[in-house]
Amino acid sequence: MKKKISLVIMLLVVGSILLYSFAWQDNLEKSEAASPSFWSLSPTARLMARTISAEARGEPFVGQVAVGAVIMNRVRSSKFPNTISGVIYQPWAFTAVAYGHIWNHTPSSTSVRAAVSAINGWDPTYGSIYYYNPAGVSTYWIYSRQVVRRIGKHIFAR
Amino acid sequence: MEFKNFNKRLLGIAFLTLALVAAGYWGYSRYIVSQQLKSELNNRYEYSFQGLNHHIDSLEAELGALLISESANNVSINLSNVWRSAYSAQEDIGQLPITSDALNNVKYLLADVLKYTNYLDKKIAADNLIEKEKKVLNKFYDQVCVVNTNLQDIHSEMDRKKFKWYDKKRVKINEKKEEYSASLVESLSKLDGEISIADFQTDLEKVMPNYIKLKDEDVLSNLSEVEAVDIDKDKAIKITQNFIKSPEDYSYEVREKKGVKLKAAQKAKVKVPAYEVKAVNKNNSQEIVYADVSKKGGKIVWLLKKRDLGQKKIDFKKAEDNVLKFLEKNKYNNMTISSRHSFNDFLIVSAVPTQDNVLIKPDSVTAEVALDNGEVVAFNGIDYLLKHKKRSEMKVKAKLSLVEAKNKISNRLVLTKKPRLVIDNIDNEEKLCYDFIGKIKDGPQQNNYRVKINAKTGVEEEVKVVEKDIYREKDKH
Repeated sequence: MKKKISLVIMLLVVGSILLYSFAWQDNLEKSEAASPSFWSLSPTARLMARTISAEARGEPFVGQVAVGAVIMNRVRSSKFPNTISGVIYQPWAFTAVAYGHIWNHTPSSTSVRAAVSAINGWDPTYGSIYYYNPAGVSTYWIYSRQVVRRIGKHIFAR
Repeated sequence: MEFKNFNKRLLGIAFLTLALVAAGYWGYSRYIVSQQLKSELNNRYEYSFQGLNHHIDSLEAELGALLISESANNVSINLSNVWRSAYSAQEDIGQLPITSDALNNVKYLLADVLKYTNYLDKKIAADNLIEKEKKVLNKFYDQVCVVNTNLQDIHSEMDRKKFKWYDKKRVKINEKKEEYSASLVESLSKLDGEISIADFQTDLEKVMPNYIKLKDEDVLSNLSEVEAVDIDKDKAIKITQNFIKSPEDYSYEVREKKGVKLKAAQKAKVKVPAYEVKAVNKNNSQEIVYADVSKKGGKIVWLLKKRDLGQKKIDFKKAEDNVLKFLEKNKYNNMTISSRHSFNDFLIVSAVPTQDNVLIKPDSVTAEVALDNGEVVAFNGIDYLLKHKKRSEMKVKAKLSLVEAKNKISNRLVLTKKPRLVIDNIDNEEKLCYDFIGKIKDGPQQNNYRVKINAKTGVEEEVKVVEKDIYREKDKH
């Protein structure tokens, strides 16, 4: 009986050590080969593609361009930092950045195209500087913003 | 037997103790790491806040110095100092963990200081500041003083109460009443309330030409004010069909959204003055075209087609020709290619209308061409839609000849393109210029530079690097 218990404890310890070390490896990127065009982007454009990919995973293509457009609109707005990286790394601005999700996947070619289009001026959001998923809103002040439109799961607002 | 049992028990106890020690050690090391991370995070936030304090403090001092500077030299130096401090303060605010709506007035104040000093910096090359302009600077000075004293008080209070920026609890606020649990963050919003933007903005409108235009452009209301006939949904589909290759393969869906559901009972009004057209390829549901068609006049605002792009098969010349054909077919007349960015599998091409051989840059349209079959997979026509009109004869007529203008540019610039006459927005005013594009002589030749010489006055209006490529590798074609 005791033997069994100690065996179980032993297994648990070994198991958790293994799990822990695997979890570390998981932090590395999953697929390096996904999109060749991604690796030839400039660093800023890559950061943008990463953010779009992590923030708008599973959204329609327009929805991905729209998220990129919001970043570009923020760069132009007086209320937000003046550079793409400043906007993306602004504390609390994007959950995918706060939780480090932007480093989990290499963006697909669709996200790369969405980033490039947004940087080059496509804006399906007509100057929106906010977006949110109404299902997961935790702060209510966001409702005070003027809604522009809904694309996929996201609502875009000014 | 008993001894064996005792031995076993001992072994068990030893093992458990070991496990406990191991777990304890692991927990402790986690704790140490998290403490280090917390303090690192706090240091970074604190650094930004210190930076904000410091830059606002210097901004006050520099605005003061600018107010009493009389000689052009000192005015110029102090203007750049003011610009630098205001810009740095802006950057610092962007790195603070506060909601993006906090400190709005301070942000507007800083943005206006930047706009105005930028404008004055150009102006003082010709003549010194006048009393009216100093009065506006004086208003900025007063407001910055308010910010500065308040910030310093808040900072002292934070130090005294051992406020920690990383502490997540402080953000628990009563959103509806805008109450913050930590009084210190609340004092930041109080400080923001003490600034009156209306006070300096009305003055700015008087002394700074084009100031209103520098405010964030409202595309939505501009779009609803376009003067043209209203179209219906069927017309919107027809217009979209013209923009698609083999339109009969698609099934169409038009939406005209009037409201968006926020939460159970709440609904928000939306007023995008455009029909949303979605077209799905009947043979391949992964190929989807999204487009907005303006209700007034029925123009494509933008169009995005999602599909997998294949290997590059056509060259850039062919791709550009396709764009021009595409534009002509859709009644964008007299268009000419003004710039292009190349990517692995597609090309972004900008085209502008011409009038008497002058490129009208503000009215540009942009298209994305797939390099596998030359199809236009995205189109952006918002600028053309909002701004395109015929310019007056006077406006497109140059006073300087090309040779006269060419004499004004630096001999360090080796031209790489044929110079053209363009109308472009410079400081929010349309100006007729000769556009010279070239590279630096004997330099590493990485960037193209653009020099604009005013074709009426001969003034060098703008010297800028041509928009950098998004790709690291340069366009070699």
